[in-house]
Amino acid sequence: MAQDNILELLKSEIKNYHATVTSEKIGTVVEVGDGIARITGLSDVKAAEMLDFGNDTYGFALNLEEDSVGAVLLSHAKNIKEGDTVKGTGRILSVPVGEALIGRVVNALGQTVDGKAPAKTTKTYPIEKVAPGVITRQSVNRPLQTGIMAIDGMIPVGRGQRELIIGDRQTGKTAIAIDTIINQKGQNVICIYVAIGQKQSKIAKIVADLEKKGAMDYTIVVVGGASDPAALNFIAPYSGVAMGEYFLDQGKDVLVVYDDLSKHAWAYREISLLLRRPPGREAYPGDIFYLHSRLLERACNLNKDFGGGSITALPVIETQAGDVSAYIPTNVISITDGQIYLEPDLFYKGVRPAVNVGLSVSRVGSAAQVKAMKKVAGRLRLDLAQFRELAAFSQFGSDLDASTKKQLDRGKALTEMLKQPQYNPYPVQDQVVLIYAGVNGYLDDVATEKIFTFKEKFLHYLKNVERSVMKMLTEKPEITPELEEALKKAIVTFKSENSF
Amino acid sequence: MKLTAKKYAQALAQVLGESDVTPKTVAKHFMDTLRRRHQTRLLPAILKHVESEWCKEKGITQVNVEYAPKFKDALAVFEASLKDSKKFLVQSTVREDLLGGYRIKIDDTLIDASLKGRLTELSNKLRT
Repeated sequence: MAQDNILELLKSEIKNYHATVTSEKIGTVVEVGDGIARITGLSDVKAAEMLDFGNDTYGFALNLEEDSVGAVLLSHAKNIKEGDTVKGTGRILSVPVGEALIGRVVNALGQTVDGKAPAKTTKTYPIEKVAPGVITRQSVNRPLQTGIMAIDGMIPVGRGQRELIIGDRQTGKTAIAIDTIINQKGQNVICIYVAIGQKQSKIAKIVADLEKKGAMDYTIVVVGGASDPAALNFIAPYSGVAMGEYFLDQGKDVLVVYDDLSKHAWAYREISLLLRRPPGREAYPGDIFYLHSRLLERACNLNKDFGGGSITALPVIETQAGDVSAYIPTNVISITDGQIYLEPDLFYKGVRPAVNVGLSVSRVGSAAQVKAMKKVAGRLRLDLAQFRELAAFSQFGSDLDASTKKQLDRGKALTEMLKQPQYNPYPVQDQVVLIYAGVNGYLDDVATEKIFTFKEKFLHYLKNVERSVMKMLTEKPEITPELEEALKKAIVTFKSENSF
Repeated sequence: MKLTAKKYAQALAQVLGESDVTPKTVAKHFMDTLRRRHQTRLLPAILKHVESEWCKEKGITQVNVEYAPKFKDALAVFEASLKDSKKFLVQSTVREDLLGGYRIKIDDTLIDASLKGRLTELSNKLRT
């Protein structure tokens, strides 16, 4: 607040002072510790209402019991002691929303933490909201390009879809999410990256990478750090989606990445056990499924009558030693519309992104794929499935017939083609021409180690020499007979001019 | 069924309210009951609730009055008027940190007419 404003406010307050009497419901802290406070009184408190503990300390009511209220503290409980007075604010926990947050790093309460001036927002949205109903929705029909060939080709994601990214530690889960955000440049998508229980150093690196790629111009980073209280990690994804809902209400498309929901479940387990809620499987509370389903249900693709906006959710789950059948992974797999499964073995073999195309699925995304991609990628999935089967089988025998060998070579070439470095997303046109070349055998005679160079040079050739192909594909993303002819000709000419 | 400290306090207050039993006998029987049920650890929590439960039983409202030193005379009249009534149980405290004015707490309702309350309100306004 400017100095002048403060002075004016003080002056008017002193001039107009009259001894008013306020009446409010209060409570008394009877127990505090581990980020939890037990309060008596507060007879008219609402569930999830923000509570004022004084000294700038806030919390929110989670357990409304017969003679006490269990509250979760949103900051460290240094100054709270037994007997302190607690006031209800009458407000359900809300976060500031608005355009001013774009490009900013905020905490789970929406306060900026990037060292710049506070964001000037005028609106707040409640963190808990009922998901849009059936009438307001339409099926997923527009693609959300991740820029990653293996995903856009075989596990396509549509706007409004919930696609889980699952895998062990250090398998490239965050890299996929970040690449997807980077690829939204110029696509009219507002991105929200929610870090839950992550190291500050990792978050700083992500923000720096996003800034470097110019992705912070349309991105909000919501931070729930590893050293933050469990309550902040618990509310971080809800805050993130509430910020997204502001843009949804304006008919915009939003992408929200929850990185990761395993740590979110841990935070909720911690809070629940401290509030003495009964533990269930793996000591998680009984409503852990509802915790994630009510969050992911807020992802939606609204129909034109309701603004036509969408929220796409990319939740991330970290598995332990590849165990996808653990409690939280199975829960989130069943909630989402598909999963991208990343395998450590593939990662260490150098197949990056380490997507296991056999175990990864997209239940609704194919409806949103562009026609050209749908046509070329159908064969890709089949070829790779056959390759995997034969690769396992061929380990037992050395003599392979010509057709088997050919299929193996094709598989190897396609696997090599799908490798993609981080921060290097491909536009959909580039992906279509590369996959076309791969599935039609134009890469079979290219040495595996030269496929990457082939890809780069071929794309350069199409953009600078044979421009008509890319122009046709951009204007009409469909494989027409004329386009196919031109593409074939371009590949043959390119191969004859270069040796691979 | 699990009995909470509040339930024990309610039962104790109700028995105490019955005039034909002496408080000493009730206390003895109550302790015996707790011991028999292995619930003596609940005693401190029960004692916390007993007074309020007893007041509820008798239809008495507990009133806590806190006031700044200068308001002692002004509030003495208010306090005296309530003390004569059997419907209120008044406890008053002098609090210098209120700076001026008074605060009255009835159950979980706080009536705040203190200068400290006004200043806190102003400080909150300045912060937002």
